[in-house]
Amino acid sequence: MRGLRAAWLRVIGTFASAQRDSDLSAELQAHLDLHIDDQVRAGLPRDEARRQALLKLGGVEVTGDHVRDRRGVPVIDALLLDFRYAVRGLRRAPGFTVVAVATMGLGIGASTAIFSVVDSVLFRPLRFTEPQRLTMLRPSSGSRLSPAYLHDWRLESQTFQDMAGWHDVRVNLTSRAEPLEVLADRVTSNFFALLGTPAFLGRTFTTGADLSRVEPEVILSHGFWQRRYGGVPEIIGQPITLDGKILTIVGVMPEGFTVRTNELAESRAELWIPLNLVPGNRIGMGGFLNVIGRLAPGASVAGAQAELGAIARRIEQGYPSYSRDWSLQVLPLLDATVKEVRPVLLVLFGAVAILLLIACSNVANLVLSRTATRHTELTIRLSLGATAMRLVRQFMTEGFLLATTGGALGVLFAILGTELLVSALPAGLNLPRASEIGVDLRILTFAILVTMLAATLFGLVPAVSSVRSTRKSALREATRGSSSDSSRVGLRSTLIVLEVALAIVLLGAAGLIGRSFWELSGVNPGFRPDGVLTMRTTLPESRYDSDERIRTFSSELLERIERLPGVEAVGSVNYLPMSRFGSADRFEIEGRPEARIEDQKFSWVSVVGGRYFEAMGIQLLRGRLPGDVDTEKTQPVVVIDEELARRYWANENPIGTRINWSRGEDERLSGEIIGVVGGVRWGGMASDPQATTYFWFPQDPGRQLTVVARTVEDPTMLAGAIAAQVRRIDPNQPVAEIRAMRDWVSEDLAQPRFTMLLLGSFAAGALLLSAIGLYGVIAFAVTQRTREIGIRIALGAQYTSILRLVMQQGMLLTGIGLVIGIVATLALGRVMGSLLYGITPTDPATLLAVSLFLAAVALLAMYFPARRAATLDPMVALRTD
Amino acid sequence: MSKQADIWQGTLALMVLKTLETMGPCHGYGIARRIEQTSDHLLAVNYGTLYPALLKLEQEGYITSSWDTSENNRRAKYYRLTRAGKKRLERATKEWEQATEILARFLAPGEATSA
Repeated sequence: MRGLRAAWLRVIGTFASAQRDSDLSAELQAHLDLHIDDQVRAGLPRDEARRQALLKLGGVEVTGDHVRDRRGVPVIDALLLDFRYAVRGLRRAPGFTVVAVATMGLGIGASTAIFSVVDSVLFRPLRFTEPQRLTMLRPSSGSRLSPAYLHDWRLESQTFQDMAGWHDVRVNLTSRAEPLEVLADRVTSNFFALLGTPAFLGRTFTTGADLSRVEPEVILSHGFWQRRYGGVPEIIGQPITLDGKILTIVGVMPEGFTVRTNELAESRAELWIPLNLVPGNRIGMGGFLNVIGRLAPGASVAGAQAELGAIARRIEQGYPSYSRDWSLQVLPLLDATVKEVRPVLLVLFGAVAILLLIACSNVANLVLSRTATRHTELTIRLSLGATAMRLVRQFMTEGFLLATTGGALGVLFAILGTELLVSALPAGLNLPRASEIGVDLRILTFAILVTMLAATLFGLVPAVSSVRSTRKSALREATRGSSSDSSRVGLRSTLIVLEVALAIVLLGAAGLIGRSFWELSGVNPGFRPDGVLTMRTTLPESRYDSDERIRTFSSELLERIERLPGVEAVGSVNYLPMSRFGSADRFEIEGRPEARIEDQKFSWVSVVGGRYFEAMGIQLLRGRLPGDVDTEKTQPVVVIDEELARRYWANENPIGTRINWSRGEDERLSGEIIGVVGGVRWGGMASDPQATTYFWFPQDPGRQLTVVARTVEDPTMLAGAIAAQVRRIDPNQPVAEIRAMRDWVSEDLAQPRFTMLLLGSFAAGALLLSAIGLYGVIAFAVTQRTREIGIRIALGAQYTSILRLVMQQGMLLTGIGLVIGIVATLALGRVMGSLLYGITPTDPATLLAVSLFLAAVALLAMYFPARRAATLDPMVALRTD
Repeated sequence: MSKQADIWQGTLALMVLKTLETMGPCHGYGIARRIEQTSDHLLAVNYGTLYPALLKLEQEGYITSSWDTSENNRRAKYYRLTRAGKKRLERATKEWEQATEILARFLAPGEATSA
């Protein structure tokens, strides 16, 4: 108890010391005075009395120290003292401190910001109940599943607790003044219960074991509720008209609720409507469902995969014509969500980690230079009896102070940077879980860990190297600071080599991404995107219930737009290239033997109307294009692209051949090939042209209409006029995505562009830091060798020979760094592979260019201190110490 | 001077407490003088070592201190015994007596073998 009380008082005593100090000296003074009084009374002269009193007390200062040690905790006292020294020392070198802290701040800030993105997207569990049990079920070919599978799996599977399916639809909302097309997910009624996310407001769909019974209900997304209904809670229970049908709003989901699958159509649903999973609904076995499952407790992914595969085989027994060469993939939902962005994020994280390393080595280098200039101070302190430990502690404190200040600045940068990064994410990037990105405790822990590592590096490395070298040289050290201590120089050189090597790796990565982006932008997508405006409208079944009505609407719309001044050609298509929507089907060529299941012919299918090919700038290679002569009453015609022609009519003329299509199980279509057009990169610039068949809209009308208009001038100027034509025909008909075709292409390139910009700025930072580091080392060497250089100049050395002398060292370091960097880049190339287009990760031209560039920058960085050395006045130089 | 013994470790605190019990409130110099006088100058107190000991006793709550005026009109810090200090002194005295008694018996000639 007493001990505890005393300890506590001592800790307190460590801090409130000023008042106690004056108290103590007053007490000691009183002691002296009393003693002297006594001695004088005993007959001693005052001087002698004072001397004896002091002797007996053992000196005021020493006694004061003893008491002070007892009063506080000596270790803390010393630490505080170190801390005070460190602050004072750093304040005395403001340039050094600002540069070091800013470098650290940027390094830690950038890496923490990127880490917060990586962590939020890749590592943090999804925001569902027990997310580790959620899985995504999909065929290995990447397309979707037939409801038949979902139905049977649900009934038979033991490894799954439940499964839900959904698909996206576009619905027209007409219950408010302005008709609006919205993206919705049609989900089985157990969808929300399976994920375990409760509604933010109201309720989710009620669910029973039987998924074939659905209520006319709808659930809103948080964002849609805010935007469209101003976030009023009274919305629950209100009716809403979708595609002409009246549904009741029963709930609003919490903010950020979404299920991302990251395939062609990711869910950005604003509404959820129930999907009726009819037991007998096996029509066509065509796949259109995304399926997620919740594993039973204890079930494994592999076990689930085997079980579902077996059930699927059984289902297929009843459908002999259906393809069997697919296998099922059961993926943890998190993997399925982020699979596509993982390589990019990891590369970016690696890049920023490299940047941080460079920043650290740069600051370590600065600290080393600073230590070198304090050589004399250290020598004196050592010889006055300071222990090496004491000096190391002093360095550690300084390093700690630098790193923590840098770290604090870094955390600030990270918070700002993360916000900036999220707000700067281009729409086309489609980064999953973007709304979940934020700085939290894990991120701060990361920043603190990095800071601690940096603190150790900045403290320990220079401390040990410096104390060791000081000890060694303490005796033989002349007063002139001309010695260049070998161990310290060695350490600095190593750091520079490391920096250059790391900078090369980053520059190489940025260079490769840049080149790849350039290649990608130069790719011919198969159409001419400039000067084309696109606009989409989806005709609802309720008002457009017959082919005739659809045809009438479409032809009137195209005619009206064609008549607008400034429009060159207008056409329509069901799904636009690069819009991430589309469909494919099987076909047979008439006159050839029916293909076996294994080599069935597949083709991308597109339905075009009007002058689509002219409007898009797709070239006609052979035959003719469909036109007004081809109607629903004449022979059905199709146009194929060169890719399909090359694949199935290698040396023949396809024109005039008939091909037959099966759409679903029983619908058959056939058409005569009348023309061959150029290939189109449907899936984006990085994809290959897809073998395509174009049907003719008047002969195969659909409700999905995307108008494509080629204009004389800037297409966006006609946006209003073109969109107005839809409402002239049908005021209740909404239009969506009125945008230039160029924007679609640009959005397709958003991810590579974003990666390029981020990597590019990291590389620029790395280059700058390495240049500064190199500059620092050479400048320092020049200062150290001033006398030597002065003598050389005095003895007649030429300008160029001094320049060479000084730069030699830097060139050597740069050279070694370059070689190591190139080797590392070649070794790391694999990681980059999946991000590159049109070039290999070992592209020699890029690596050569990057190396030359870095060498040039390095030369420039070395040139300034070298020139200063070469133009030294020998008289001044010789006098320096 | 050179024949004087140094104060044994740990006994200084006991002497301080005893001095304060006998003399009542006293300043540091007075305590030191008193210890020397009581020991008939056989003990040499380095006055400097007294102050950390005083501070320790104060931190442990056995004594308190306050500023006062001395007999010859100097301001000095006076230490006085607390109740805890008195108890501590009693206990320590007993312990000390026991210890010296044991040691005395132990060192008495002939006694050690009789057991």
